[in-house]
Amino acid sequence: MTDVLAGQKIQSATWPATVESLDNTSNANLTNTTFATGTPVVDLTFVAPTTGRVLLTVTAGSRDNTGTDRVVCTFELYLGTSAGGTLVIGSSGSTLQYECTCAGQADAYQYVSRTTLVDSLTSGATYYVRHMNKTASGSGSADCTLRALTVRPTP
Amino acid sequence: MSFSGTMYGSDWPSAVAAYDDTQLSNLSNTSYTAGNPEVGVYFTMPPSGRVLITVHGGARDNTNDNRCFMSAEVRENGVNGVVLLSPAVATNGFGTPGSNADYFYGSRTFLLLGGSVYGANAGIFDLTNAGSKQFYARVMYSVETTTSASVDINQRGIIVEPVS
Amino acid sequence: MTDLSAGTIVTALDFPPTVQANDGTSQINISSTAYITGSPVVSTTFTAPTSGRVRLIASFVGGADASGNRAFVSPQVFEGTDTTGTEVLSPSVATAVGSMGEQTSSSAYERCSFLDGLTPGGTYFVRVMYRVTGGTTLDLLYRGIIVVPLT
Repeated sequence: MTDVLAGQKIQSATWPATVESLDNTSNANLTNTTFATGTPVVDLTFVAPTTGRVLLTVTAGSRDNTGTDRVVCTFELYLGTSAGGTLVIGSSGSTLQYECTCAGQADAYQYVSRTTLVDSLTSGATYYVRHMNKTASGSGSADCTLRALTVRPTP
Repeated sequence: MSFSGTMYGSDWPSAVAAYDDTQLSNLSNTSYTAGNPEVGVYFTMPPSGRVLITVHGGARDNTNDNRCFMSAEVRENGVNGVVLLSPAVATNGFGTPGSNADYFYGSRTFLLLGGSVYGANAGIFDLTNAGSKQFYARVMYSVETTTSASVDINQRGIIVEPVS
Repeated sequence: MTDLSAGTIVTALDFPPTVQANDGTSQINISSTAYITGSPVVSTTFTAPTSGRVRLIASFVGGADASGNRAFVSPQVFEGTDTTGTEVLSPSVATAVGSMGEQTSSSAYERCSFLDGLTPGGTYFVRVMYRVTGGTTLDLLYRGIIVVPLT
């Protein structure tokens, strides 16, 4: 991770592309209480900028038909081009910093985002990120439709 | 689109934003409308052909069962220009739960990518000579049902930021 | 506030680092209807870019309340490195992310807002503030702020 130094000219190589992956397929009546990828998998690869920092946004549209459960969305980040790479940020521990969820009392689809500043990435390296979801109580009444990931290289 | 070499200010047009907190009451439109006042910004597309757009605001429903959808619309040149991004909450909007009787505040950020087609009635987001074109983005809103005319909006905001 | 004009070579000062602050210490049974910092204070300093514009991203996890109260989590910004400087942005619903009163379970999302008119290269201090609309039963599990320099 290298801050861009004062006076230094910024080269375009400092700024790889901002990328997004989005899918609007209904994933209904979810019962998993551990994070899984959803169908289809919403994922993308990106190149880390010189600064080693990206803004990673998780977006979801979710609801719970009975007003009791909820869909919790987060991401998994790997160094490499697939989930077979080295895990950088996982979903098995606390996801309070990363997760996006609507309260169980949202019984119609609600669309919101949650952004994480990920830093200490290796400049120029390729990373793989995928959208994950679970339910809070596995009751089978929670649905997730829109899932999106946006990665923006940032200073 | 990518490019090499030193970056110049022309590679980075300004981020722009608009925000208004006029209360719009008892809404019943199920088709997207801009409302009054209109919350919109002109922006210049960077050479990357990419901008992040954030829609944010606050709304409530007095009968606890109608959602409010705030979504971005993008046109070429101005409010009468070719639609390049149609408002659609699932892909480019922010929505309230519906079951909230009081104001609910949040936002949604998404990537707008030149060269794409967004929406059934939209034109291609054409990047030819994009640096010399003006694009116009505004917040549009609609509500879930017409039967109760009970949705109120108290904030609408949009941010357009050039990205690499 | 200075736009990056055509022909100007973009330098690092035009793009100071994106910064964040966050904390997962639960704030239990919040009762303050005035904005407070809670404990620990979630704050950081940032440098304003040449444009004088930043995007603020306030986020939270929580909001479960059995009594219909809402939480608002909103940034407050001062000139300088602490709260002794001039306040440039007060916490308010205009920049807040909020819960809904009907929720009895936790939620997690964010609110982005746009702050401009900052002095290029200036140092600013941002902290996350929160309040509730009433009651004594609302909990927050996480508070966060990200400051993104803009062109």
